[in-house]
Amino acid sequence: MAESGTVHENTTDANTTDPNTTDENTADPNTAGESTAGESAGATARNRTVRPGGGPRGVSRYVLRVIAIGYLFFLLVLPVALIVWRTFGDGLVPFVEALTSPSALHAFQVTLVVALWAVALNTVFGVGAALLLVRHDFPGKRLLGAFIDLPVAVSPVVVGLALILLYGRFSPVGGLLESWGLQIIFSTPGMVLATVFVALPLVVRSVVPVLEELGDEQEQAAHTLGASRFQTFLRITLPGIRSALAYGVVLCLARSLGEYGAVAVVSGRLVDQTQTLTLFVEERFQNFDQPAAFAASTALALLAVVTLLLTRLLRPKD
Amino acid sequence: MNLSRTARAALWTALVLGLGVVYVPLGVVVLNSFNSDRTFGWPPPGFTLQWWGAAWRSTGVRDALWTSVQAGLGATAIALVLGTMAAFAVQRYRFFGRDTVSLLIVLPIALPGIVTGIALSNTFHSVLGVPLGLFTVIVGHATFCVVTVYNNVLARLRRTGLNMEEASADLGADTFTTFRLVTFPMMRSALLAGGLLAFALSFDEIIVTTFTAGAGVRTLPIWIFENLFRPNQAPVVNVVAAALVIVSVVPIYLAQRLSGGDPQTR
Repeated sequence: MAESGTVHENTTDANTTDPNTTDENTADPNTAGESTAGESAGATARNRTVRPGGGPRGVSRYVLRVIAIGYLFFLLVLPVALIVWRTFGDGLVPFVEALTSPSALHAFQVTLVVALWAVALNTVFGVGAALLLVRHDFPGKRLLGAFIDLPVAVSPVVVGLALILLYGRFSPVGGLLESWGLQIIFSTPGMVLATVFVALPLVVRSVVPVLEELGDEQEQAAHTLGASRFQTFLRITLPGIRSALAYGVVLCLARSLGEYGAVAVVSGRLVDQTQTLTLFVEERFQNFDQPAAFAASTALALLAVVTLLLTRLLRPKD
Repeated sequence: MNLSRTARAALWTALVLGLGVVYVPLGVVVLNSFNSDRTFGWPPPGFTLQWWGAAWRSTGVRDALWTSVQAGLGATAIALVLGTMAAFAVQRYRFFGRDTVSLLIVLPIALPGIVTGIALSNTFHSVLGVPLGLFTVIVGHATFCVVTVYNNVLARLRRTGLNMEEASADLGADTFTTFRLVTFPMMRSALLAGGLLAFALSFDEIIVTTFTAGAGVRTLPIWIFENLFRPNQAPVVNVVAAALVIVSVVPIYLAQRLSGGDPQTR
């Protein structure tokens, strides 16, 4: 489900790199000037905590807070805490046992292989596409940007179906590949393709704004000083986009680990063969093996929290 | 950096390969929806609109479409209200645990759908005692739709600052008037972009839906999933998928337009 969430995370990201952005922590000269000028409304602008309670603003402040926290508690903290509690209710041993069963270990391994391939391919694609979009002028640039964005808006199930239609055993392409001994659908290559598809724009959208902001003066300077283009890329461009790239890679990794719909369709959900961690959770849950399902869910949730914290660290100036 | 000729060729190759992974299969889906051969023989022996007609007449598809629209609209409405409120609370006020709250709000987008699904279904079942149905689907979708609205509104709030609202207050407008005449118009395109993405997310979602939908509640992605491997339904499934591909162009197009009209959204 992480799909387009990232589109706006990118929006946010682009904003944070925007020089005009007023971060709430940095004192904005305009507002500061205003608050000394006017005692009434402007004075408390930056420092709401000193504002005496009461009045419509004071009430709305508490209402906002109660609604926000109530929502978070009932729909997020409580459900996730319940899973964690069910997982560890009988201590650590069942948790470890559930996650070290042969099926679970295999699912971990499949997930890891698929995610690493997908991340690697998307990173190469992402950096390449971002360089072209920012450092090279050609007609139809905006259109190309839209083409890169589209995959996040396509339903994962449709992604799976589309891959089956193209690479399935009974299609011309799939048949040909199979005669060469290469099975795509119901096997790892298909799952990698599906994951690459759904996570395609994430790296591009993280790198583009930073590459734009960076400008190319330093690259030109390096070039003038005799660096080859590849050296320039390695020594100037890559360090400049490092944290944005890492941010994109983490987003991409999170998406790859958690993907369900597209992978469920193309993998055929074969236990101990093409079962990823998310598919493992679903299959265990349907078979009333709740301890295993909850344990794997907890593991996935922990991974999600770690990636979220990582993106927080990597996102520039947030 | 001036790209050398070989570098440019390599980059274009990577780009074309990457986009090929996406667009060749999607193209096949759209083309096959007009393929007159039931089993998608290739090259198509002829083109027909027959399957589109059949899909339109199918009650299963229509019901699923209606359910998806209801779920999408419901989840988007909740997301717009809660996401905006949460963004205001986090951006405009300082309170104990604000960083934790802001982290928790965006958590659902990082959380794998299956975890959200199982967690919510469990909570509805064993704690809140709410029977699963369309309502629970809407609430489930809202958890991650809120994030899209929240992110967009938060970004806008960060950029606009308080100056305009202060000016409005200084000129004698009360809080509500200021919100109606100053704050809301500034937020409008951010709300539109966030709402659009929220609707698209809800419309495409499958796994949270599977776990929060009661018996008989079937959204469009679930309908496709259920009919995917039924050979006699293949042409209709294909049409629905093609329709979904075409429809998903809309939010991307509008987002581009929005960002084009207002350079600040990008």
